[in-house]
Amino acid sequence: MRTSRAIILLALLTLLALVGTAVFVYLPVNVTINSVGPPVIFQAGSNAGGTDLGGNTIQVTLGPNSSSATIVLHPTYQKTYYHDILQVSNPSPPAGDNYYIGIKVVSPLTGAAFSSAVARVYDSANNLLFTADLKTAGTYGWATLLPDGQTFRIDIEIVITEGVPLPSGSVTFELVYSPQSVTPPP
Amino acid sequence: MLSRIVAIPLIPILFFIPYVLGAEFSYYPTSLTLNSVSPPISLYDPGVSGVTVSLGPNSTSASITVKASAQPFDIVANSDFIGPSPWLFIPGTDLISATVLPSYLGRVGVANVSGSGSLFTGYTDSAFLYQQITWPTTPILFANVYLEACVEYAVTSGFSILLLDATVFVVDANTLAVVDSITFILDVGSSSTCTWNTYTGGLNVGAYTPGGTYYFLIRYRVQSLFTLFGGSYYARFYTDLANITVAPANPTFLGIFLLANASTGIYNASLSLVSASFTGTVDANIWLRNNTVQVQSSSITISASTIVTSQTSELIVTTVPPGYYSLEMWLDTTISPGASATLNLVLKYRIQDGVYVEYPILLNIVDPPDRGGQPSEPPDKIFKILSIDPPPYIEFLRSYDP
Repeated sequence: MRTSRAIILLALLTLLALVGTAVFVYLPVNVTINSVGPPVIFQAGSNAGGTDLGGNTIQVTLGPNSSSATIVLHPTYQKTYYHDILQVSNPSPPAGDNYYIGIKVVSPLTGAAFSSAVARVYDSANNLLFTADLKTAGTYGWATLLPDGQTFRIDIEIVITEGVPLPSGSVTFELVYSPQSVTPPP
Repeated sequence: MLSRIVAIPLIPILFFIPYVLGAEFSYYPTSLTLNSVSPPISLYDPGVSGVTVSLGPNSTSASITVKASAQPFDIVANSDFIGPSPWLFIPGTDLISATVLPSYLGRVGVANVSGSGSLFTGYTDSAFLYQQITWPTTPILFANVYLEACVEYAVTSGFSILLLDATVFVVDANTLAVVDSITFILDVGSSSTCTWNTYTGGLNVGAYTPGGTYYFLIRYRVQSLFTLFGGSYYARFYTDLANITVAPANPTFLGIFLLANASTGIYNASLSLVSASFTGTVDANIWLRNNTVQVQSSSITISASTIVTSQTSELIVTTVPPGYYSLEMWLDTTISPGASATLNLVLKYRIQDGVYVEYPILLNIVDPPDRGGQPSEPPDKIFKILSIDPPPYIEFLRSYDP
């Protein structure tokens, strides 16, 4: 009897050793962060700064490191199409690598008066690579290869429903890129 | 042993973790702001007969219906005796007067052929109004003669029964052969006052040569059906309308179907045919015209219901003074009877290479079922009836009874 109790106690102790007893081993890892210049950059499109409708200007403002962009357009009723507003470039220097890109719509355009808002991405041979619905959040065009030394252009197409007051609105989207295409961007 | 059992399956899982979760992503924020503006170009209804235009609420779209057939048209000049007069008068023995009355018994522009004479059994006299006409070159579906006329006459002495009739002839101007003749009995008796009546008859369209020249004649005739002991009479033939209306077998339309103007700025505009559907055979040309600088674009071309060219060249659209339009959209179409077309057009304009605006335009071309009616002529010249020596064939026509 005493032997049986000892065996049970030993088993419980063994179980506790497996479940509740941790053995910590520390392996040193040294992480060094060396930031680099952006290998993919924005460029103003050929029509940035050009004349827009209503006596306005097509406003395209790039961030100081060409890694952000602010665009202001002035569409009217029906379909207004802006050709080559913004460009995405993978210049050979400094990176010289291929990248995979997509567009992630973060804060979509709202309002029924805008019946459609689309960004169209074309390569230098004028092939349509993908479109992004600027009225619906989500990631579009992943993983489109932006080869080393290539530049893509972005066109914007806006459709405003006739018969409603002229609307205003904004949309925020991100150009997302990665040297790998295995998994979609979070 | 237990730890080995747990650890061994973990090895491949841990091996793949860097490949599944370890991708790095960079995000570049982009802000797009849209501040919409009023349309710089607006569409307008040209107000053209046979064209129905429904504009969108902001005049940036249009739905248009063009009646290709319009109405049957008149091939007789001055058929209502108001406008320019090519009519010639050939008198008879007693019917020797021909005048034009500015108005008579509620009608404007009335031809009056009249005369008086002595009666006997077998008496007959006739006079003519006539002119040369040209048959249309396009195929004709049908053609009608319309005569609006009345007579005033009386047997002033003796006892006679008179027959007054009017016969329309169409005579080939080259062969002098009678192609068509239709007689309308105007009255029978001994006296009458003018009561307007419309007399109608169909022509044998298959007997005419497209583009051929013909004489259109109206013979006014008085005949004595019975006369006792002689007598006398007077007769006045009044004609308010004498025409031949032809309905083209292939309905046509040529004209402006839409206008556009720029409120500000200078733009390059063009028309594109996006899609089309057809019933029957449709030929059409569509082009832009800048009336300010008198230039027009190349055409969208449709031949036998097949799109040959789907886009026009560009024209400049500018601001113009109020009441004027710098951009006209033209249509020249011929369709088979009962045919129709639905054309989805886009008016595209650009302020520079980079900014395009597109307005949808729905253009329907139809052949409406109504083919009746009598077109009028503009009263633009002075009426005059001429009297000349009768051509030789007139004597034959005096006694011609269809």
